[in-house]
Amino acid sequence: MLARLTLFLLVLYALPWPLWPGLLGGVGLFGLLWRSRYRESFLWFASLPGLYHFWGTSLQTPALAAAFGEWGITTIGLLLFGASASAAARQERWAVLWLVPLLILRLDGIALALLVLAQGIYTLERERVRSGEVGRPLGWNRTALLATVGLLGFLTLALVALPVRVSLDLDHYRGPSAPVQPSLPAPERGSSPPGQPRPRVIPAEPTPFGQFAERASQALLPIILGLMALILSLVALALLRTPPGKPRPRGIHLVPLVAATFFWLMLLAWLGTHQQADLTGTVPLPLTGPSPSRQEGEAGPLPPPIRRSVDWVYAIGLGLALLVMVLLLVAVALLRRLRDEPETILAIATRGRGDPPAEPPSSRIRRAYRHFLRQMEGQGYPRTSFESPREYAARLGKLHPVVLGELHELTELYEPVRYGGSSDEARAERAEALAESLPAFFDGRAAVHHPQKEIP
Amino acid sequence: MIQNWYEKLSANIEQVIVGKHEEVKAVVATLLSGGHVLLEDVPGTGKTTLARALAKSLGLEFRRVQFTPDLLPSDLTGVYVYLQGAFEFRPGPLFTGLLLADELNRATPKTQSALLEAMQEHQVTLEGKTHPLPRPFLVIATQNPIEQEGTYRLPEAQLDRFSARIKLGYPTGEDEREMLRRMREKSPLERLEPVTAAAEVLEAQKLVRQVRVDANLEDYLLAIVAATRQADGVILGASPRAALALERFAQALAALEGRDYLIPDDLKAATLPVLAHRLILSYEARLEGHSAEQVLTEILSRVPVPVEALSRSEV
Repeated sequence: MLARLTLFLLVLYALPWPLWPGLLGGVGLFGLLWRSRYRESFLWFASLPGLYHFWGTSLQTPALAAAFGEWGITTIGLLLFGASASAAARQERWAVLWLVPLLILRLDGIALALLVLAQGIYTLERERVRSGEVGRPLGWNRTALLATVGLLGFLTLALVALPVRVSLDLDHYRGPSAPVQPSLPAPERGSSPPGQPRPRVIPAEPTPFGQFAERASQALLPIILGLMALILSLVALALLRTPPGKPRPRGIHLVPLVAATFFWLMLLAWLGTHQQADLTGTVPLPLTGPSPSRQEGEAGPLPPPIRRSVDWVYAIGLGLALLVMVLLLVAVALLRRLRDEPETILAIATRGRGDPPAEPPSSRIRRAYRHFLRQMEGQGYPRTSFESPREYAARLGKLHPVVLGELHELTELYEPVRYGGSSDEARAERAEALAESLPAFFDGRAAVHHPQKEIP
Repeated sequence: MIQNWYEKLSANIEQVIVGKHEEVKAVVATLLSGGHVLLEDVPGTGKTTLARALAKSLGLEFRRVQFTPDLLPSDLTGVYVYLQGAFEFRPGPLFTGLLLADELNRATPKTQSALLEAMQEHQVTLEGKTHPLPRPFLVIATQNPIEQEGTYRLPEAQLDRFSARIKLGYPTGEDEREMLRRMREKSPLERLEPVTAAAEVLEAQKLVRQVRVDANLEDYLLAIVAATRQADGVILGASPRAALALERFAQALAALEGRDYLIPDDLKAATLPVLAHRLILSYEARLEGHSAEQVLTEILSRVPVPVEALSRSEV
């Protein structure tokens, strides 16, 4: 818990305060989804909390680029935090290192010290759990001793001996009080010079139709993004409402694909707006305050108007690239499925158009057992390659005798399908329920690793 | 069906043999796989009693031959005698349902080899004439450890014809106490009644052959067999006949548990009894104290079991 808090502090420190509402919302969503059946599904939805930056943003390039910048950094911060926390839950040794890219956003002594502190605390927590498993006092643990000495030494070095730059001034993240002069040259990408305002954008030739189009465009972006966010939120809600042990919602396996497509679409759009802004010479500076559309009505000299134009070649190319990417992902998914479950693909191919999409019970049981194996691997209890399902169940049962019966039951549901080629609907449902519920009993325990030996 | 049949049979045999459930199961599995058993252990551990109890319970005709250095092949197969102007065949003790070849390794290799055709072909050829043996036909041979005085090492070809080698071992303290109590008044062997008949054994043997073997399990079996041929310290690995015996024995184990399909555990359980006596270790390996059982255990801990491949395509 303390390690996760330190991780979150590091993320908060690295990202500027205007982005904190998105971060807090994202961490809340992370906590909620952590209790769902797919505990690491937060990584699918990490791009949602930052969408509020598009609120009230017009389709003007600089305004869009600014909103995209704020959204992108919020999303990346949440992704890194999610990956780090997930790796920590799996007790991976260097889970904290997922947050190293955040140092690019804010490289100073405090950020570095927070990173080392997080890794040190995490190592100590991890070693405490492992020591408890093997019944050995933590003090005699070599890794724990090294982590403690290293942690104290580095902190002393970082805060006292080294001339590190400690930056607590958040003013440079705040927005400007006056707009920029139109002749301002484009600043270096990624930099954030203090006091530099964002250029103002006004529509060209404000005819009545143009005014209407401009207002409509302001509503268009929130509607599209809101719709996407609504769909993903509904999926997240469906996950939250399905407790462990219940059959999983149908089609849930497509969610990562949809979420990834959305994320890549947003990233490409971000790059596109950034490039356009470069061409027009008015590069918006992310993280420097509210977007231009929120500054209307302010006094001061106005920058020259930027002509709205649609780069159709760019749009078609982007669309084609996305289409190819989605098709490739679908092809890879189908190929993998064909390799794993040929009978399922055969059933789909031979099914009539009007038939409901029914999955054979044998596929469901095998999929459930695979899910169980993967979950157990994630918990630190992988099946060794030379273990039969019964031997694996017996080994797990020794660790948790309470669920020994259920482990053998799941194995006995799986064996006739895998080796005997038979199953029925009721057995499939029972297998799915067991595969979902059993891994929860092994949560938070140290891994028992066996030497993995295979004949090449 | 086979499971119920076996439970009756096992309960009957265990009235006489105390605390040897797994060994009894292995002997019955060998019978159902159509093979023959080599019981190996020091004298007095119940080898002969087990064979007699099995024969009685199965309702099979039982013959016992004490193998000695002066035993001749014709003492086993039978002879033609001239009687009233014609040669008449007098069948030897091989013509039975269950033959107990007691202390097989005390006979000369020539006599041991006389068993070869009978065990493999279930027939005996004498004077150019073939005499089929009754079915079912099971040979239970007992063998004392070869380090003992007056024993001859069984040739590899002979060993390969035994489907399984089973070691009975000493009973545990409680089992031995129970055995003393049961034997105090009258041997339970004398009042043992048959619980099945030869026809049922033949039917069970047919059903065992129908036990399904998944293609991946075939690969697993072949990988184990291939590994015995490449293992360090082994100069003679498992033969193709051993692979066949391994599959049949595992099928029988599956059937005895009431399954009509094989699982990896059946093959694992069958590996030691079926393969251990067929491996010949090098002189150096034996000097270093290695045994065939150790080699096989090592192989089983290295050959991957076919379960589910954990691809990343699934949620």
